[in-house]
Amino acid sequence: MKPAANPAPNPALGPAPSPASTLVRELENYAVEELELQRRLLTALREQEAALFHGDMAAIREGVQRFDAALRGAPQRAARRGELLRRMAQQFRVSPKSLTLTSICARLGPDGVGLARQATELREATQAVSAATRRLGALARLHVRLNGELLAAVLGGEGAGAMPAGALPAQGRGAAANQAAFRSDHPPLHGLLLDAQA
Amino acid sequence: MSSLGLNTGLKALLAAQARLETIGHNVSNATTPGYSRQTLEVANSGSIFLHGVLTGTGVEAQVVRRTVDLLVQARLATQTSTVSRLETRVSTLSQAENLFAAGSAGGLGQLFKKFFASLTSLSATPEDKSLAANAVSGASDIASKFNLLSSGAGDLAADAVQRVKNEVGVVNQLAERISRLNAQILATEPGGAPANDLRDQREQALQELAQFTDVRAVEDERGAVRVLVGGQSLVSTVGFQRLEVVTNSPTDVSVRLKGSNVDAAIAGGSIGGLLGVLAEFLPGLRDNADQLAHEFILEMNRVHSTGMPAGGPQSSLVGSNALQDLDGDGQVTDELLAQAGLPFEVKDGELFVNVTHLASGTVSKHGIPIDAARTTVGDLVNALSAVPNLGASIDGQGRLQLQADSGFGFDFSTRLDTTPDAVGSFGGGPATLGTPAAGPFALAIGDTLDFSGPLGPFSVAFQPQQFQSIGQATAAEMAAVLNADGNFQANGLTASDVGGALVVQTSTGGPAQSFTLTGGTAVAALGWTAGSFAQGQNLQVSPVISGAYTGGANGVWTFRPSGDGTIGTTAGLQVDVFDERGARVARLDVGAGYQPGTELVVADGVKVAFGLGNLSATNHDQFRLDVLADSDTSDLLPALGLGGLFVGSDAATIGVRADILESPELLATSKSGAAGDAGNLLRMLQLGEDAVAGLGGQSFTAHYAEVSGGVSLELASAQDAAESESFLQQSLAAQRDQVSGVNVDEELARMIEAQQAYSAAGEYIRVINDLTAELMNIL
Repeated sequence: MKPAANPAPNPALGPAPSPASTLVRELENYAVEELELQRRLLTALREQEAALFHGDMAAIREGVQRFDAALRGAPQRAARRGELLRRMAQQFRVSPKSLTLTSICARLGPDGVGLARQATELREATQAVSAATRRLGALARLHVRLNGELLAAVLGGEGAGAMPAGALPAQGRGAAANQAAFRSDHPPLHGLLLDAQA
Repeated sequence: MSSLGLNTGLKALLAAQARLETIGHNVSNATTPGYSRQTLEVANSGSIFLHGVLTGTGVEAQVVRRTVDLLVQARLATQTSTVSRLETRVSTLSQAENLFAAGSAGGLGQLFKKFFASLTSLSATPEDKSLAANAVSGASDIASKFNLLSSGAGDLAADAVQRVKNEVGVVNQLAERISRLNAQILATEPGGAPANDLRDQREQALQELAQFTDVRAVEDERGAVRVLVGGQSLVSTVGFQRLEVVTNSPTDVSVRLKGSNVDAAIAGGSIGGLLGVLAEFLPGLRDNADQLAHEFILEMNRVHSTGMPAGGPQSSLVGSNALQDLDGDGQVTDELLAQAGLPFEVKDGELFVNVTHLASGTVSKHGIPIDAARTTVGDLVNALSAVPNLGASIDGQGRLQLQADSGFGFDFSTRLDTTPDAVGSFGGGPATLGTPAAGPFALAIGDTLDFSGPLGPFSVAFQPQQFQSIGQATAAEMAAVLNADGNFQANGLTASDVGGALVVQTSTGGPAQSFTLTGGTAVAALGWTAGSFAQGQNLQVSPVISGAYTGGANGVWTFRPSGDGTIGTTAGLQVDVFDERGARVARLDVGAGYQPGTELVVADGVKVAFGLGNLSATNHDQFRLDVLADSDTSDLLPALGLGGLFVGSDAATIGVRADILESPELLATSKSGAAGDAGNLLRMLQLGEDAVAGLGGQSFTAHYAEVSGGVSLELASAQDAAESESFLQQSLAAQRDQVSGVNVDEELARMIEAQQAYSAAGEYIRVINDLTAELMNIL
C-alpha cells in the first residue's frame, strides 16, 4: 500500500508540525484523560469496596452513581482512541490492530518519550483498577449469591411446599435449631472466597 | 500488600456473612415464641505497621447479642402470672354463673316462681289431682336443680383439682427444662460468646412458667437463674425440685415441693387462680346452695308435715332421716333427740298429734312435750305409742315409723279438736266435781280426800312416792292415785286431768249418779270445799268447736260457766273463756235467749256451739281447748323427716318424698282436712314471701337472687380486673417486641435492598472490567 500524500507546509506559519507529532500530542492528551478516568475509577472502586465491607447501603448506592458518572463518555473515548490508533497506523503504514502505545512510542523514538511516560502511568493505573475490579467483582458476586440464597430461602417458602430446612420460622422449632439448620444450608465463606479467586 | 488486602477482604466478607446470617436468623425466628432479635456487633480488627505505615486490617464480627430489656421481661412475667390467675378465675366464675343463673329458664329463681305459681293454682281447687301433680312436679324440679347445683359445684371443684394436678406436671417439666438450659448456658458462655438462643429458650420457659404460677427468677453472676415459686426454690443454679399436689379432700388440694411439709404459697398464674377458687369461692358456692336447700327443706317440711292431705289423715308414715346410735352402745333409743344425728335441730317445744276415728270423725288431740336435752328417742317412741290407737317404733334403718290402728288415722295438723269435752266435765251426764284452778297442788305427806259414794264413805291417802314432788302434785298424778284406789273404783268414780285441773266424776251419767266430797286434809290445797255434792244429769251440753284458729301463738283456752244454770234457759248464764295465763279471751251468753246448738264466735276464728244441759260453776265445770298456730314447736317432724314434702337435708340430697311423687294427692294441702280447705297451701305460698331466719331474714327467692347476683358480681369484678391487667400485659409485650421482636418486613427489605445494590455494583464492575481489559490491550 502507498502512503497518502501529506499537505504542503505553510511558510507563513513557520515550520509546519509533522502529522506524526500532531498525532502524538493527541495521543498524549488522550492518555492524560484516560489516566484521570482510571484514577477516578480506582477511587470509586475502593470506596465501593469499603461500602460493601461495611454493608453501607447508602454508600454502595453512591458508589454506583460514581461509577455511572465515571463511565459516562466511555464509548466516545473508546471511539476517539480507535480513531487515533487508526490514523497512527496509517502514518506508520501498519494495521491498527498491531499498534499499542508501547509500540507507538518505540516507533516514535525520542519523540515518544513523553507519551511513553504517560503510557507507563496509565498502565499502572489500569492494572490497579483491574485488580480492584477483580476483587470487588468477587466480593459483589459473593454478596449477591449469599443474599440471593437467603432471599430464596425466606421468600421461597411463601406458599411453596418445599423450602430449605431451617430457612423459614417453624412453629415449635427453637431458635437454636433454626440457626443450626440455616448454617447447614450455607457452605463456609472461606470456600466461597477461594472459589471466587480461582 | 496484596496479601494484606486479601485478608482484609476476607474479614469483611466474614463480617458481612455474619451480618446476613444474623438477619436470616432473625427472619427465621420472627415468630418463634420468646425469640429476641439479635444484632451483630462489628469492630475494626486493629491496625498494623506495614512499611512504616499504620495500616488498617479491616473489620471483624465481634459478637451477636440479644436485644432484650431485662426489666420489661421480668415485669412481663409477673404480669403474665397475674393475667393467667385472673383468666382462670374468670373461667371458673363463668361456669358458676351459668350454673347459678337466677333469671334463666332453668334457673332456680324461675323454678321457685313456677313452684309457687303452681301452689297458687292448686289452692283454688285443692282436690284437683292434675294441679297437685303439677305442684309436685315443680317441687321435683327445684330438688333436681338443687342436686344439679351441688353436683355442678362439685364438678367445678373436681375439674379445678384435676387442672391443678395437670398444670403442676407442666410446671415440673418447665422446671426441668430451665434447669437443663441453666446447665447448657453455664457450659457455653465461659467461651466468651453469650448463649443467645439458649437464653431466649430459658426466658421463654420462664414466661411459660409464669402462666401457671407466680415466678421470681434471679440470675447469678455466671448466668444461671434461680427460680422461686410460691416462696420456695423450684430451680436452683445446680438443679431443680418437683412440685406435688397434696389432696386434702376430693375438692381441696394444696401444692408443695416434693418432700416438703410446707405448702407453697402460690397466688399467681393459673395454678394460683385455681387454688384461690378452690379455697375461697367454690366452698362458699356449695355452702350457699346447701344452706338454701337446708332452709327450704326445713321451712317447707314444717308446713307440710303439720298439714293434711285432701284425703284426710294417714294411716302410716316413716321418717326419712335416720336416728343414729352416736354413743355406740348398740341402741338408738337411749340417744337424746338433740344428739341423735338428725340433720335438723330439735328444739324444746311440743308436738301435737291428732288421732281420728275414721268412721265417726272423732278426733283426739295429744300433746307430747319435747325437751331436747332430756327427751330420748325411747321417750318419744313411748309417748307416741301411749297415744290411743297409734303405734310408734324404730325400723331397721333407724327411722321412726308411725302406724295407726285399723279404722284410725293420724295427722299433726293444727286443726281444732271439734269435741274437746271428751270426759264430759262441762255439763256432761256424769256427776262431776272439778278443782277451781289448774295444778300443781301443794299436798302434804299423808293428805287425804274423803268421799261418800254409792257404797258408803271412804278415804284416799296420798304418799310422796306417788308423786315426783308431793308439794307440787299435778292433776295427772293425783288422778292416777285416785283411779288406782280400790274404793274409788268400787264406788264407780273416775278422775282425770282436764287442762291441769283435777276432775272427779262418776263413771256413768244420769240423775241417779252422785257422790259427795265429805272432807280430807287435801281439800284446801285443791280449792275444794268439804261437803261438795255432785249429781249427774240426762242432758249433755257437749260443746262443739268449729272454725280454724288464726292466732299467732299456741294457747290453751279453758271454758267455765259464770254460774249454775241451764243453757238457753237461765237468765244471765254465761261461759267465760280464759287463756293459759288466766286472761279472759271471751264471755259468751248462753242463758235465756240462746238457742242451743248455735255457733258463738269465741276469738281468732274459733267458734263454739253448746247443747242443752246444765252447767255448774259451783262444781267447777270446765273443758280445755288447745288452739294451735304450730303443732310442732319442737321441729321434731322436719328433723325426723316425718310427713314432709321433701327428703334430704342439703342441695345434694334434697328430693321429693317418693310416695308423694307417686301419689301427688298426698300433698298436704289442708289445715283441717275439710273439703276445699287450702289452708296449708296458703301457708306454703306464704313461705315464698316470708323472711327466713336461717337465711339472714331473706326470702328464698331474695336469698337465691343475692347468691346468684354475688356470683355475677364476682365474675364482673374478675373480668374487669382481667381486662385491665391484660391490657397492661399487652402493653408490656409490645414493649418487649419493640425491643426484642423481629420485624420481618424490615429485615427482608434490608436484604432486598442489599441484593439490588450488590447486583448494580456487580454490573458496573463487569463493565469496568471489560473496559479495563480493552484498555490494557492497547497499553
